[in-house]
Amino acid sequence: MTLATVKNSRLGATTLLTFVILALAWFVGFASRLFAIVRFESIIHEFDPWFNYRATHHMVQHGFYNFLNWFDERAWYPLGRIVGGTVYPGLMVTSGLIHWILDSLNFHVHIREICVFLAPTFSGLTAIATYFLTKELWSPGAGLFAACFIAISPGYTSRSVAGSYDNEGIAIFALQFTYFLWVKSLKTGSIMWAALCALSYFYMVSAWGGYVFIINLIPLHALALIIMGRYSSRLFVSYTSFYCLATILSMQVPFVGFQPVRTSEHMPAFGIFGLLQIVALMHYARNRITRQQFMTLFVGGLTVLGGLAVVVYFALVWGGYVAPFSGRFYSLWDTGYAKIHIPIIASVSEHQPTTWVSFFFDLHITAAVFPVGLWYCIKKVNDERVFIILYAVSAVYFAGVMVRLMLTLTPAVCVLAGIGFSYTFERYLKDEEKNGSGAGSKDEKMYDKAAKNAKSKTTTTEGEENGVSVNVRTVIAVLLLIFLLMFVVHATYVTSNAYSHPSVVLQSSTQNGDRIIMDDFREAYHWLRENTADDARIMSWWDYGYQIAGMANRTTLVDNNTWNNSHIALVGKAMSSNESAAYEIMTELDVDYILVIFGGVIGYSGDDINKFLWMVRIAQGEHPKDIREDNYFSASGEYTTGAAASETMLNCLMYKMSYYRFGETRVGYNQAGGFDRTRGYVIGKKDITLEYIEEAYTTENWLVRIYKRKKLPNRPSLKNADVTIPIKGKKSQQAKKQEGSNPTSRHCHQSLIYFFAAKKFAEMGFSTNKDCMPEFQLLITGLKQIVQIVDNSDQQFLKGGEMKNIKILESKNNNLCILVDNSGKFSYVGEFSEEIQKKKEDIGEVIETCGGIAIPGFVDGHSHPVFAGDRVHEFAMKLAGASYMDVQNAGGGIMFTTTRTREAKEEDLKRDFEKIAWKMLKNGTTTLEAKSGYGLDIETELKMLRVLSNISPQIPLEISATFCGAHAIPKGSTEIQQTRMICDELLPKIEHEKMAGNLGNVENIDVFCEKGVFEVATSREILQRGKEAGLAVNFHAEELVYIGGVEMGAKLGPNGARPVDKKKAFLILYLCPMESYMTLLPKL
Amino acid sequence: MKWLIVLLVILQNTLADRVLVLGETAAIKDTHSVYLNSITARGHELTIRAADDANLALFKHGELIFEHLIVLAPGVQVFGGSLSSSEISKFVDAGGNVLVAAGSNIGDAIRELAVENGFEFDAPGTAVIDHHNYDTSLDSGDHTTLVINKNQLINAQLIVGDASKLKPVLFRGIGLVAGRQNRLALSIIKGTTTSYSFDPKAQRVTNPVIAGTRTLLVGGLQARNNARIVFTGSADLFSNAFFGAKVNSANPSVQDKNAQSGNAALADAITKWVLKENGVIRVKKVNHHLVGETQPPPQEYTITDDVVYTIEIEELKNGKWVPFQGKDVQLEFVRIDPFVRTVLQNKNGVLTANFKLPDVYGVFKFLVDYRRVGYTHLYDVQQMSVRPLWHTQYERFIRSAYPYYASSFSMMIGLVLFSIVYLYHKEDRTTGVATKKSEDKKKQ
Repeated sequence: MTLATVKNSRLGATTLLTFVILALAWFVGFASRLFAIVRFESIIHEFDPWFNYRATHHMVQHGFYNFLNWFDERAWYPLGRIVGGTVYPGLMVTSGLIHWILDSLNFHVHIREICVFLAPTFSGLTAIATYFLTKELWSPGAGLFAACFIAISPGYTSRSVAGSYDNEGIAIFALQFTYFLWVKSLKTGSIMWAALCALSYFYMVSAWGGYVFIINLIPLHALALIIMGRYSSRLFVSYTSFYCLATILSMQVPFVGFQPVRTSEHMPAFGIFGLLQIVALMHYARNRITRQQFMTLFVGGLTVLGGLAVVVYFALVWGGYVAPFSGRFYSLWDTGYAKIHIPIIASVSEHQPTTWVSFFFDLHITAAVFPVGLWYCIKKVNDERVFIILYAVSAVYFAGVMVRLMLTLTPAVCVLAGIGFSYTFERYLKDEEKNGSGAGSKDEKMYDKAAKNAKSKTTTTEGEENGVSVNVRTVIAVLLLIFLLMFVVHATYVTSNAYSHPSVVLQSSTQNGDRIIMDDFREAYHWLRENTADDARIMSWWDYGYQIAGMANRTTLVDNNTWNNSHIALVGKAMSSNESAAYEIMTELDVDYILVIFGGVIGYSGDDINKFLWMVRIAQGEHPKDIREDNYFSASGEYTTGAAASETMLNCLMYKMSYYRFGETRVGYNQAGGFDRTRGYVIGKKDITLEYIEEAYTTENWLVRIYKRKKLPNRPSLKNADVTIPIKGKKSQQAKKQEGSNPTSRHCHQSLIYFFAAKKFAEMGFSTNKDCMPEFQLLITGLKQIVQIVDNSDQQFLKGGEMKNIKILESKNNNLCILVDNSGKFSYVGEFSEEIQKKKEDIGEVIETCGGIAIPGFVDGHSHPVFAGDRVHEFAMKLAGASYMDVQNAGGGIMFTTTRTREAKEEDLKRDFEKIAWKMLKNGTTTLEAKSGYGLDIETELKMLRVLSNISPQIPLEISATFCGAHAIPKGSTEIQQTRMICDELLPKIEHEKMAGNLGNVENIDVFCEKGVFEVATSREILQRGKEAGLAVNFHAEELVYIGGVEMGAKLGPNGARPVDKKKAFLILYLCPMESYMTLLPKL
Repeated sequence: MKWLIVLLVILQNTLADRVLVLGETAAIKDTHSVYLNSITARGHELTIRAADDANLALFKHGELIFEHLIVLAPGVQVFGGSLSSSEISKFVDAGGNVLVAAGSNIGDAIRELAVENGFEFDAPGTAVIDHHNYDTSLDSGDHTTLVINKNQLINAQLIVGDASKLKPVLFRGIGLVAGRQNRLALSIIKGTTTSYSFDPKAQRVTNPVIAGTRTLLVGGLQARNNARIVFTGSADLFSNAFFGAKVNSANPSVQDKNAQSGNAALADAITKWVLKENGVIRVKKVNHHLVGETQPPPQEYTITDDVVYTIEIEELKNGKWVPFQGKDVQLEFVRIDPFVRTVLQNKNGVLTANFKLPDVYGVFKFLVDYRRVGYTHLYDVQQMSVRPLWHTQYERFIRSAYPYYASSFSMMIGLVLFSIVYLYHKEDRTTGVATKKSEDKKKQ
């Protein structure tokens, strides 16, 4: 700013100092990125770098044109990949160029070394570019600060350590340099700078997909300037020259192609280009026409043109000429978008939203200081500072959306933090020149300060004084210095500990601090390279595709270039299907080997089981009929491979491959076999047998497991279970072997299965997703016995001597099964056959019982399950000899319960009843006759009936409710009163409710026909009235005293339960001709 | 004369397959002499042993000692020597061919062997019974000596010979059934609808396990390594007695009365198939290349190339490899799904197809997968990549782009003209007269 006033000698010293500082920044940045090499070795890291390395290697070997047209038949088998057209070649070309230059200078370096050291080298260039950018924006001093920050800032180091050979390593340099040139061209308004800017942009385009950020940020800047009224011819010249050149240049990259004119992401730049022409025209016109005309032109023209532009845009999108915004674009605005629509993007951890911790972790003090710089920029705004403001604001937003975009935020933060520090020091170190240099601080810091000193001298001439005392200044300056020191320490610590792991080699330490290197990945890849055919095809999850191609040099099916979602879904489907279904897919894809990553032995959390849910989701996206995510959760809805894991989970290929033979291992002294360290529990199924694949190799720490796809058996030998005519002798070894291989302890469900009433099956929640409902809802297999009672459909029940011969199906080899169709009917009962095996696809749930027994559910013919109060105390009375009526008369019995039931709330009754219902179900009762009869008044009786009708549909208990208002005569009422109330009020109400569609399962009426309760006459009246109301007749009779109730009831044609004193058993004769059943009770 | 001897030696060598024949006792040499002699007559080297001979072995130092195994020992419970059902299965996996004939006195060894290969024999003591198709003269009254008709044979001339000329065949023995999971099973001779398998001495027949056309009288399979296995429930089918018998079917629809049995012909045909004298084909040579060239490209094809695929197939006939004459061999060009499927044109054993590659890049396979009943499985895969066009292979000038070419050139010319005009115009302004006039006009 005021450098012009500095003397020549001063100028020389400043230049030298600047030069030295930048050189040191470069050196320190370079050196701190070598931790990975010092700790491990000169090796390419992670996943994508392996592809970049492989591509570079190919280019160096075969030449640029060969690389450009490279059709990689070893990737995405059998689709292949056109590498030249699907890659940003900047990285490879840069390394190749360096290699060529060194080679022609007779420095023969292997291309791998260049690849490993490229990113650290470029970090120095980034520092210099940042220096220039900041210098343009603020001052050279701020620039030096920014350069030093960016050189060691963890946010940038994370992507540029030695060995991290990725696009970002060079792209950040290109980004900063493009911005510098843009600011420069804007300041000068010179076509030359704009052209240079476009060239730099071209380099950026060739290097990284993040170029879209530039082509949107620069137009945004231009737009902001126009809106702020800062339009100038400089802006016009620089933007238009930049845009035209940049667009044409970027289209030269094959992967980008026509995107700059055909996708929505590039349209804003084009729109601003148009807008600038209009604005320029306005400016031109303003001096030449009247204000009136100008306003008409301005308002009219702008509206029409703007409207036209929008219409044309949408027309082009609709017509398919311009692609609409891509999913990746939407996921920047809606963080939940990717998870729903593009699971493959969401499955990558670096696409997750950023946590606050990582802001601090990656930026440390600069994260706190950059708002200060931002504030200074806003306070002293000019054209170019608008740019850095926009840059910072948008980058902060994007960094919040995705962890990965922390990378674009870091340069902006470094620039602004540089400005912040620089400005503050300028003000607070003004008079403190001599105290400035701290002996303990690092080299660069000293130089920084020295630079500041030089600067502060010049600023004194501006006379910017304020009333801060010398002591305060000193304290602040020292504090800031301490912060800067802490930043250096933090940056070094983070770089060394967090970002310098190659992830191809794992490291852990023993209790005494020794390092343990786990080189399982390379061990496995080396095995593949040495022991498999050259054209062997390896199936793995896409994460490992690049590594397999790079290190094992074998054909892969999918890799980290996730361009074909359906192919990935196919692999996901194979991994999540059972063995036989997976075998078909693998055969179709000519898979020879399958590779899985398994961390259960060493506690490595990035393994395939932890990624498995994404495989399922991606597979479900393409094959919703075959793969359903729900099937992989336990009954309680959690994702687990432990004891609660679902059957689908335990049978899928991924589970089997991960845990094959794992049950035999013990990871710790006290640990049970099959204890998974990563997930911290014992796995759900230990005895895993493989039929279609075989284990080929497992690495030292079980981290990588390789399986081989078997060929189909040469001969179709029959399995033991398929042999229909048994061979008795079984002397030979072969027969014994077959027997032995039969798994003895399969994972079984409960060994006794009750049939549920058919109707209830349909309600049991199997029908929750009707869209993809399978043809059959349930298959129960592996049964030893099925108790059928009758086995021909004409017969409903057995009577008399027949009852000795109930029909039972038996199978010695537990081969019986029951198939239930969607309407809840048994569609097949009997031997498990191949036809059923074929239908397996269409079956919703399969229960394997391993020798279970299925019997019909019990029918409870008499119960009063809705009540409140507990009558345990009455047992004491009964034990003391009190009769039923004694208890009743003492206010106990039915009366006691009646009082409590009347008081109880409907919800409470319902809750209690449901508990009872569950217990009944557990003990095998599936059909229940349930009576009311503890209300004895209108309100409570109806309440009880409602409870019985409204039982939760989740409880598959079939209830036939009985109105039993004539259960007893309540206190204060008489037999006649009660009869009238029932006949004239209650029954009409029930009838009415039933007409209205309520009380759906109230089907019977019951009377306690007994001396002193309801006599024969009243009983008859009530039952008669109930029969008219459409209820089936049911009654208790002759329980205590014989009064002829049965004869009466028999005439009404009952069909229900009645407890009869067994002494009066002869009365049964009355009922025999009628189709009714009775319950005989022993006398208490 | 010399070359004739050489030829004979070669012929002898190719034909001289070693066959191990196992009988229950040495008596088989007499009871089945006609059959065994016919095998010897075709040039095979027979070794006849008892099934429980303690020196039996199929392998020596891991190598096959015999190419084929014929078991005519129904009652054997345990094989002698190192032989066992699993050893025989291993023999099959190593490429050996097996023919097994059983009978009603079947032993466990044979039954286990059947199970290992996807078949099941019925329990000992049972026999296939057919009350409608027995032989009136030879049957002892329990209707177990059956007469097989042509329509019970599999429709494959390679296995059963020319069925149209075949005389009725006699069968007496145990029932066989193919396992449900056995997808390779061939029902060489199946039972009639009225046949069933049961103990002929039983008073009452209840639920026979094997009945109707599911009953196999002769069943076989060709394993995935092309080894051939045939099971039959009747060792008598191969016996001298049946070879020479006259057939009188109880079925009135059978016209031939007292005709010579067809057993010899059928046994001959089946044995020829099992011993790989029939229905053996192989690929001699495969080539594919661009039209007009002779060799495949070193690396890959380019999309929409015109290619020629040639496969030479040979068939073994009478011990000689002769060109295969089948007209129904298809070629598929596959990348997961077949993109091209075409019938190969057969010119005396050289099968060719000319076609244009699809406009799709990827790793493709030239696939010939020829499966016909009776023939060995012919499977040939040639993998080849098909790449997209090189950047230089696209059309240089396309018609629809002419307006753009025109506009860019006109732009260039325009710029030059404009520059010239602008520069000269400037000079004109200071010196010329015309401009002054126009300036005057403007002022007015």
